[in-house]
Amino acid sequence: MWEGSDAGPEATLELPPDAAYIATARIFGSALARHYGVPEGAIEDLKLGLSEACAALVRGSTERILVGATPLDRRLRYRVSGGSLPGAGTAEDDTPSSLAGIGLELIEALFEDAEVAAGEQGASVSFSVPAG
Amino acid sequence: MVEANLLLQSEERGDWTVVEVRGEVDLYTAPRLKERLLELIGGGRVRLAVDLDGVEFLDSTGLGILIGALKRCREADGALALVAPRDPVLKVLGITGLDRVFPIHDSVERATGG
Repeated sequence: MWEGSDAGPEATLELPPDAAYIATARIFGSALARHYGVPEGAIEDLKLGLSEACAALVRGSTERILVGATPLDRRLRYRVSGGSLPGAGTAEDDTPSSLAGIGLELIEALFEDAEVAAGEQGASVSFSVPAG
Repeated sequence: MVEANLLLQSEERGDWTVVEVRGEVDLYTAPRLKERLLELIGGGRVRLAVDLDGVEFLDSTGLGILIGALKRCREADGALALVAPRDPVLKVLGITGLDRVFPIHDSVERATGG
């Protein structure tokens, strides 16, 4: 499966900007992770990361969400991209303001190489997990 | 489409109401959990034991719902406890520090004192 440090083919899932499909992103991500031998503990982390990233982009956008995964150097890098991220401190209903935006903070706590980017081209969240 | 992803059952045990949650709690399914908890609290059931043993996944949306319910219960002189969260859920609670906010028990009996 791994040939030196060659990058493998990227797999991409395209989803409507609808919270109903966030579970699909978790299934896609975890199935791919198992294919590349990612340890189960890391798979639980990546499900959370994908869910939080998709939720953040679904909240802030009406554009389709792309979930991509690229194997490289014995890691699997995931990237979730879409329209935009909600404003800082955006809270849902009566969610305490201290929890607003915690999703992206969770991603940064779980993944040392997490990157959150927002620009004119859209927003993206990426992180990687170790693969077998 | 994904109604089966979250199942909720509630049962009164004296002053407490046990809310059994099974499945996945995320941005899509969390509103149903919120609705149920608010319905119970609004109906005067303010001592809630939320059984998470059947919860395979819970993200920050779910945490927000639980925090909101905890706050409402406490405002009504009630309580909200979490029961038997699985390791992935415990991890999220730990990362966020919420494991020090919620009473967490390993059984409904311990949570409800009965």
